[in-house]
Amino acid sequence: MRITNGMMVDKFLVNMQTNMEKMDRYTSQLSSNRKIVRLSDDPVGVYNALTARQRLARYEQYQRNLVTARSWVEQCDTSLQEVSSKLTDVNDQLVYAATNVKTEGDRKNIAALATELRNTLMDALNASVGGQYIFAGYNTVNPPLTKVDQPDGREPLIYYNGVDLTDMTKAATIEAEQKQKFQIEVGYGLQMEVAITAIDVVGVGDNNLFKTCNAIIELMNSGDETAHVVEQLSAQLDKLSTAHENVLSSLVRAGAMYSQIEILENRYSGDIINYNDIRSRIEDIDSAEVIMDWKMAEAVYKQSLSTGARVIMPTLMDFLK
Amino acid sequence: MRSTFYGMEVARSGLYTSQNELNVTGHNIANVDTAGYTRQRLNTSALPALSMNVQFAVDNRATAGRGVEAQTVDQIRNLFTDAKYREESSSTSYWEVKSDEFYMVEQLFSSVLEQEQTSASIWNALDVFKTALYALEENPSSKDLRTNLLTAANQLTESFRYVYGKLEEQHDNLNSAVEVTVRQINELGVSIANLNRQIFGYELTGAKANDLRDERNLLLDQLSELVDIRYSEDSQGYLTVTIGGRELVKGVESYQLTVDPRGSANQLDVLANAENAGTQYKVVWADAMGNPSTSPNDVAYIQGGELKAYIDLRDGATENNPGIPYAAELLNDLARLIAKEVNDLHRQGYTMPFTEADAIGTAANVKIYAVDSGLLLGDTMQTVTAADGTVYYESMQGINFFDTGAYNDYRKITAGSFQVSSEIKNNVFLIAASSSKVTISGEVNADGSLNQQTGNAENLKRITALYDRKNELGLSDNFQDRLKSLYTSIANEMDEMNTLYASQQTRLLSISQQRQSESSVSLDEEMTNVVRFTHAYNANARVITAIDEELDVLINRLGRVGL
Repeated sequence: MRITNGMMVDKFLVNMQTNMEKMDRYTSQLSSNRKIVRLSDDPVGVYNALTARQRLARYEQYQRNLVTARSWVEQCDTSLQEVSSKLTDVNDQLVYAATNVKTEGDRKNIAALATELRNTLMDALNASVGGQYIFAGYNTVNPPLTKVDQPDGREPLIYYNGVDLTDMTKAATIEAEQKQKFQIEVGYGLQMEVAITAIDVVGVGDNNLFKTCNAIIELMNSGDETAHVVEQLSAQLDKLSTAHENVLSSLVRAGAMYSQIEILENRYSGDIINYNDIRSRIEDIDSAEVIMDWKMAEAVYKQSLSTGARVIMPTLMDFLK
Repeated sequence: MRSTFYGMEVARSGLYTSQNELNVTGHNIANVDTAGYTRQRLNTSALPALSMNVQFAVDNRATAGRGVEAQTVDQIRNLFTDAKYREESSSTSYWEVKSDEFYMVEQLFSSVLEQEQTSASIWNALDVFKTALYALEENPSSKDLRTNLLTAANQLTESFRYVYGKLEEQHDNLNSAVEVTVRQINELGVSIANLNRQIFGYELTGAKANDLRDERNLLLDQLSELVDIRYSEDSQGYLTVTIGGRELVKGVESYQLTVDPRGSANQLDVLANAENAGTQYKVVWADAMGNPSTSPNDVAYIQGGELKAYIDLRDGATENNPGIPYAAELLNDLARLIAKEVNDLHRQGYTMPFTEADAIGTAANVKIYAVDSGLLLGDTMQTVTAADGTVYYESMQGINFFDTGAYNDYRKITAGSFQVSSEIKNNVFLIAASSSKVTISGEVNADGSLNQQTGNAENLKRITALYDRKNELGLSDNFQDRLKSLYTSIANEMDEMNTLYASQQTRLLSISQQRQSESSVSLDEEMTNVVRFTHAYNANARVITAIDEELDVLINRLGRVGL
């Protein structure tokens, strides 16, 4: 094929352009620290990078949720500990005092103990985290336990979310209230309960802790004869132990929640590191490799320039005399 | 017998011809860098000795020829290579324009590649929305967290609207480019017709109008970049150029292409199922008055070149013919999906009660929709009075989170009209987090308790579960997956365009090299020719000198003996 100067220049320009494009690409990668500078550089890579980011975002979200879960469970645990230690305390004192119910003074003491227990219980179970009441099911803006005064000088009843837990005609309502578990999503499809309703702690119907307290108080104020009082008192004390076991099992539940939170926290911090690594391998450049490539492209470019210069310059006229 | 000065004439013809050859070579060298110049050569032929058409007898057997005669100055050009070049040039220009303009679309979506949380991409906005939903789940009655969710939702819709706005701009630009290109085509057509006239006139004398033809060829090259053409030259030298079977240039006449501003419906509006679609240009042949013809026979049939690229990009709505509407529809589909799925779940949930003081002026403009069907029910909000006399607007179902437009039709939503509903924008308490009615303080609940359900985030959880959705095959198929698929589609289309453009460029280069190989001027070659023709001139001059000396002998010394 006949070759002219013009053709050689054209070809040289096209090849030089290709070399410059290569250099431009590596320069972009280096300056942006991204392997994928444009979407079309690597469509499959884009897909994989975004999938890795999806997973990463999910784990980071669960981590964030775990922070709230942890504060709820910790508060739950603290309150239940308080209840449990008070129960133990009062139980011991009552057991000791049960044998001494002869005098007015003795009975007054016992009544005072029971009242104190009832009030402490109410306060502990009205605990809140960040302005939300944690023992109240979904009723997070109101304290769950409220005191409702009774007529005829009887002891006030403690209602839960406006419902009398000792009234078994309202069994359906109580069950509905019990079902309201505040949950936080801490894993894929994993909604974790982070709260226990006060119903579970204090019991319903005849086993209701407050009913037991009130029974004790009214017993002490009744002025009945000692033998009867002692008999009734030990029956109530039995109820108190059962209630205490209830509280303890709630504590165990809280403990289990707590350890699950810790396991998940550890797992997620590990997973996040792994997925960051995966994402980085897809998206970020290997600086050493790109710099090498850039150097090579630069060498090729320089070579093409020097060769081109040598080809496009001389003509026959330089040699004709 | 031949004449005495026969040899002189022979040498003289050689002299003239060498001079002429030198002139042609000089013309070539002068035009070495002229665009579209084809190298020229002088066609010469040897003149035979005088033959039979003479009055007196001449002895031909031992007579040399009469020298050399210049016939024509010819161009060295291959018409077949020319035609191939123009075909490839149309394709190359098509892919060049397509990939250059679609690059703009790719850039709109490339912000997702940034890793910072502050990136303005739709991807990031979806993430932020999800985070805000989770945050609200932990304390559904908090006004601050509700406002946070509204902000995130606004960011999401804004990111859609921004991209769509840019696409609309690009669509308008492409529409203008169609008109500009049509005008350029017309101008070239007029110039070609002019040249037809000039070439015809010039060639009446029998000469070849080489340089005018070069000019006409250059115009053809330019025209083939703009639009796909067919052309042919008739016996008189007139070039007929056709586009899609209709003549642009015939003889000395040129016809006009023009654009009908109301010729076709705006494709973006069509995709948006808009009530009043706008219009865009349609390329048609002009009638005798120069106005766009409305006859269906006069529709221009454009198949290649820059013009087709602009049209395809402006109107392309499918995977095989991607353009602005294709990208817009992908976006629209995603916006409609998000709006519908979130709305369907949101209507099932219960809002929070609020007082007039909490949300001034809201109650007057609240649209309530049916929970299942989404049809508009009305705009009356129920009130309830608290024990202390404060009037609350009740918790209710049926509020849409995203705006469904004046027609309450999801098909009419576009990424450009994607908005949070005005109800939610004006009053964050209308965000429906709960799965049961939220009562006010002191109001007895449905189950008889005083439980207000303020901590109930079950409905929000249904909405966040959308981010974990799987399809019937058990594969992940949530909003972010759809968005990934959108990005990948755009990336693949762009990649394909780039590849096709690159391969076309290679083909064009190879054909261009073939053309140049035939027709372009090589300085080395021309220099060699200069030397050659100079030698020829010198030699011819020398012959004249020799004959002159002969004649000198003949005239001055023949017959003079001894002197």
